[in-house]
Amino acid sequence: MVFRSVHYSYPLSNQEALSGVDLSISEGERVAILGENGAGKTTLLKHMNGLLRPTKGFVEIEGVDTRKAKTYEIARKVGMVFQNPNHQFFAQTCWDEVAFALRNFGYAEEEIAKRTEAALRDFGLWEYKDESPFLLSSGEKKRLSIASVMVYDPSVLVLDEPTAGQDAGQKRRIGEMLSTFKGKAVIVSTHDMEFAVKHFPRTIIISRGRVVVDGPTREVFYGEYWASAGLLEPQVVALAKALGMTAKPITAQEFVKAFEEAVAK
Amino acid sequence: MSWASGLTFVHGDSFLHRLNPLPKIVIVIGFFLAAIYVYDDLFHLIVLFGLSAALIVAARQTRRWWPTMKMSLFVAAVIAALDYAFVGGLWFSVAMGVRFLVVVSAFSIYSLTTPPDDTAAVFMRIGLPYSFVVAFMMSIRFLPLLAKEAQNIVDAQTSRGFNMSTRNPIKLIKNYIPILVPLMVISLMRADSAAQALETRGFGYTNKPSSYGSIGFSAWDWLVTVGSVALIVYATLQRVGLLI
Amino acid sequence: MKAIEVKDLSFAYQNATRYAIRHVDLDVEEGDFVVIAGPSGCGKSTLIRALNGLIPHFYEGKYEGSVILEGVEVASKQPHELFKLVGTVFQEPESQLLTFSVEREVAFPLENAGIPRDEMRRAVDEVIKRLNLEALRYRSPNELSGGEQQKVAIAAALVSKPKVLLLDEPTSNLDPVSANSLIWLLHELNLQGMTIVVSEHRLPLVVEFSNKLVVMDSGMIADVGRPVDVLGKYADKDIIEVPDVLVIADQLTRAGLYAGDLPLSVGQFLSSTKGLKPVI
Repeated sequence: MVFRSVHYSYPLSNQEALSGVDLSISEGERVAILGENGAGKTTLLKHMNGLLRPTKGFVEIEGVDTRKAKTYEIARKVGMVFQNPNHQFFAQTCWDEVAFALRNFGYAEEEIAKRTEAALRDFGLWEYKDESPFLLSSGEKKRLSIASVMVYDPSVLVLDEPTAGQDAGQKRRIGEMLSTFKGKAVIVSTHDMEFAVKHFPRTIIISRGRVVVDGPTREVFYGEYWASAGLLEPQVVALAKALGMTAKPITAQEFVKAFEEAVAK
Repeated sequence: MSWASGLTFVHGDSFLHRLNPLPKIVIVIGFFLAAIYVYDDLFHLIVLFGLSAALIVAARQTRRWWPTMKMSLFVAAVIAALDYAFVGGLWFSVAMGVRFLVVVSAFSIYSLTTPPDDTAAVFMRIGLPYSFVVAFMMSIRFLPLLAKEAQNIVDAQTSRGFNMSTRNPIKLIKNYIPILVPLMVISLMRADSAAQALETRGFGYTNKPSSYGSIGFSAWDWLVTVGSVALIVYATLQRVGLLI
Repeated sequence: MKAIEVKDLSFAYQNATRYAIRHVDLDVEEGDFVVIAGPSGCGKSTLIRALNGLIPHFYEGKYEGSVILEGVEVASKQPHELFKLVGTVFQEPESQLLTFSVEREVAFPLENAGIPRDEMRRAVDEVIKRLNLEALRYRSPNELSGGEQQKVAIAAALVSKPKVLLLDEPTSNLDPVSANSLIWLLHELNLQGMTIVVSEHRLPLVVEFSNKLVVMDSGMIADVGRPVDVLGKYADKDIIEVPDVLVIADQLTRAGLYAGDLPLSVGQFLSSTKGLKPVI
């Protein structure tokens, strides 16, 4: 995926939502996009699957310029899971909900049956196949919304705020699930720093429509970008800096280990 | 949703902004009646439209009025086409389209310059029940929110390969289900949240709620109201043939 | 008088197969800052609804036990009769703002109470000043950011001068800075004497200001106590979000490298004088 000097303004708006974004993401990369609300994260995401097209500059998905392709062609390659599952649920059964994308993309009936069953089983939702999606718990709804995108095996998976409103256990399960998607690029937009740190080796911070920093998560977290991006420094980082640690731990486990090693010396 | 910009209130300081809602309601009624009275007289309809546009310019809201008019142009064209197909007469059909434009433009004069709370106050003044006024105002308040949700839903379904455009009319109607069902569900959820907020803010505590705002009625308001009513009466009488 | 007394409260929503909350006992003193935590579905929201009367009036079902708020039996009053005692802020910022301007939103509860106009204006001005909303006075809700919207919701909840403020996952839809700002506001209100009960997932932001942490699981209260005591038990579990500094301190204590009270914030970790053995 390549963004080259991408600018975007919403209709009837004087302000640019994106002011010159350059980035490229390779096959199989896992990237977290951080930024405060209003920084342009969602706008950026919508350029990734063709929902929006730049007013200046261009976006290429697998070499294809998004301005020259139809939205559903791009969506076929880049699966997007939105923050609120209620924005997509409409079917009578979970089966139909998952099969929806396959039907839209014109898969054969046999293939649809095979993939839908596999997706439901993989996400632990097989027992609900004939039940209404609206009756699921919040964690199950989240899994169903991801399943309904994974079912057509896009090469890139984009998730908008996957951990918003989730409890600790649910967050862990989502993180683990995302780690199992080998060979796919996984991009999340989030302001959950602990989640970003645990599962995403690369972090991009967006502020006011621009990329503030783009690099390995550890380096980004120890840089001085927080205030300008409207984010809070994670406790582990703040503590390590305050103690003058030379090591750069980004999780509690790493901190404890680094601390013990420093003491041992 | 940019086409609704002409129907949404924005702060401003023009003459029209400072008028009480009542004279403005009279003005809008005046336009509606005038549009009826001239019926299919294309020339006078265009004059009426021009008059409404002039008022918009005076209120300095042209920029917000325009997207709404663009959308209305589309609807007006449909009206004209239907009239031409079923009733006949080119100029007649065009006149019907322009009449629609006059109606929308006149309504927009009111919506652009009147804070909804003032409209609510007028409703209360004329004796409509409190719960009705609150319900009416809340539905207007939540309209932009629901429009945003509708867009989110379209985005979510498009991302799963959903394609709205099709020539088959039956399929077109079926195509609305993945949009309408989530919209209904979300609207009901919002309504539920709003109802809970109403309850916890004391709605229903007493039958005699008070009113925070008070809108005055100045000399200008009298002038415009009386002037507009006079014009309406004159036009009516003339139309009805009771005057020379 | 206790601010809130919950006695053996159980509730099952209509048509539900099981109880949403069971045998809940909870005491809240005036001036407490209570945080209710627990996994999704544990009954946090149900408990909050039982405190402001939405349960059993708005949500019908099987109701057992009692809730007494500022001396009033909650179940015996309609929610709209209780709004002078308790204010509520909900999770979705925009759904709870019902009018077209911040000023009217704050005035709305007083209009509902039939308060005369002059008194209303004074109360509205006071709340707007208290929460620093003057700059936003005439703006409409959909022009505001999530954090601003929640602030307005708090203002509207406070205008009727309640003694207790309830918040149901108020920071869910906010980014970290706005969330932090909101929690600080709650802390200030608490210092001024407001009793606060807030259900939250994002514990690291809020526990340092709280004096009572309630952990719920499957409809029952699993733990109640000082945050530092309760969190210590959950440091290595996955049930609630324990602040990293506490997890770290907990593990270092076991390794013999940290002695002293478990911290709830970075500041507390650093200032714990008995804390660190000299290092680095």
